[in-house]
Amino acid sequence: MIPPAFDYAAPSSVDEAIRLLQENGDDAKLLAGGHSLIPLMKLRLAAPSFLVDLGKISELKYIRDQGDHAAIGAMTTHRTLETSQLLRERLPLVAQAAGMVGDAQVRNRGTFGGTVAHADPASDLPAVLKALRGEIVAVGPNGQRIIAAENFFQDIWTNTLDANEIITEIRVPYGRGRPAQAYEKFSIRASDWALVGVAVDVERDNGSISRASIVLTNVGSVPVRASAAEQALQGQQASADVLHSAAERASEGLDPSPELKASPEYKRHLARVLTRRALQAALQLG
Amino acid sequence: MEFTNTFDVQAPLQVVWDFMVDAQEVAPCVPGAQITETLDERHFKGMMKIKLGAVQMTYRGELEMDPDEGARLISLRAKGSEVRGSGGASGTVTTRVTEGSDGMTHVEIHSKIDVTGRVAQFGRGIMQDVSNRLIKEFAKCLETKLHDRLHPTVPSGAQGDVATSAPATEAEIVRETKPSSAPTAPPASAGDAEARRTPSAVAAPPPRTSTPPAELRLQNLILDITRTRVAAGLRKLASVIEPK
Repeated sequence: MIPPAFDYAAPSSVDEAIRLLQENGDDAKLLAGGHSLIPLMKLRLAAPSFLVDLGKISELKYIRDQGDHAAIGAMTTHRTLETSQLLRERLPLVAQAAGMVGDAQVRNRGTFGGTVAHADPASDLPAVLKALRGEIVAVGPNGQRIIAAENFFQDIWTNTLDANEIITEIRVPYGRGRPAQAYEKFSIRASDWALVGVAVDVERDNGSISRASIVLTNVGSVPVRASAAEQALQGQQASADVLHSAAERASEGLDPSPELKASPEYKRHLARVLTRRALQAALQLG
Repeated sequence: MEFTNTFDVQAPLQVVWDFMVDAQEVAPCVPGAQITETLDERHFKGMMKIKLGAVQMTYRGELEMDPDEGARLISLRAKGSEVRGSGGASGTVTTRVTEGSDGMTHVEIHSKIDVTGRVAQFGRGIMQDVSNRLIKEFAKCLETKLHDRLHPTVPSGAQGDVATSAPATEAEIVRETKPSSAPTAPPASAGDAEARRTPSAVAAPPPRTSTPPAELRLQNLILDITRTRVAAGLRKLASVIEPK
């Protein structure tokens, strides 16, 4: 199907974009890479009457080293994240996951801000952002505010932005020491959404795990933190046995919905297996 | 998709049954639904809007309610098609009312829902999640409504409610919480209500079972609508104030 008719504008500044959103009210929607929104419009599941294209706002594309965190412009494409030297060194989880989104065409158009705002629980980067405890910088008619990733994803396709707010930047803090991070994604077809995905970030202190962050993709209506598994790692020496037993707890508290290719039991099984693999990859342990 | 939800309510079985067979009572509990036409006592036309972020789906269809008083079973069959699309949804919701322990009534809601069309193309659990949540909210709403119906007290505890420390009648509370939109109860019944409610208008009144149902219904309906609106308004306000 083709989308229903809509009006379109491509402002050259964030302020202008906000003004356009205000002018057009509820029926206006922001357009970033378009690879989440346009398919929905083609299926006529979403029918905004006005699209505000952020593509001409050049100041939203950047990756900056801010000392203790990376500041990433909202319109930075997945391809840029994937190939960024800074991210590969300091935040490999972001670079790796960005490189696993969809296919090359999607990665060339899709943006970090766009996928986060879209808040699809089956998308990879929202889980990654939540695992890394990132922050979202939002600008609206009332100025700028910062929303922690932990509080950003409210429901399927629902975030906590106000009407007329635009994500301008995403901040991802560096961890302490050398990063031990990995993303595991399991799907049946290449370039599909994950049946289940696991984002892992582990901080160590002299061989023992001081902080573990494990967040799952597509097991709920938002990215889900595997708290039981995280606690099982806390304070433990990083060894293969510890990883295995912690991974067994990754499915605790999960209530995944069934879908065409995966029953809830299978999703729980995937959660455990992929958590183990992600931890093994992150910590380079067998 | 199939789900089962249950709840228990401190009420006689007959009261619960009477509530459940009244479509006008039960319909407001279905999120996003409204009855647009009453064809007869058992048949209705309605609409249902589901909103998820930018995605909005509206179904229009028919609903048939089939109570089996002997078996204490209510079958609700609904079938609708998308307003702006070629998909549809159909479902059967079977509510069974049984006697629980300690004078409680046990309500079991079994739902079987099928969705066709565009959302099904996603091949992911979206409709399952949505349906699951809808039924959960429906069950919760029924439970709350029944409870409030049977225990009309100074409202407290529920989201967004304004707690009043001084004893007050229901009619007064209605005016206090949302003076602009809540219709004031008609003077005659308010007067009667006040007289009747004074003995119980303290922090924790005992359950009241002697009030005539018609009286109760109006008061509670007003309170219900007000509370829902206030709660929604306050929830929205909270999300604005508390971005963290």
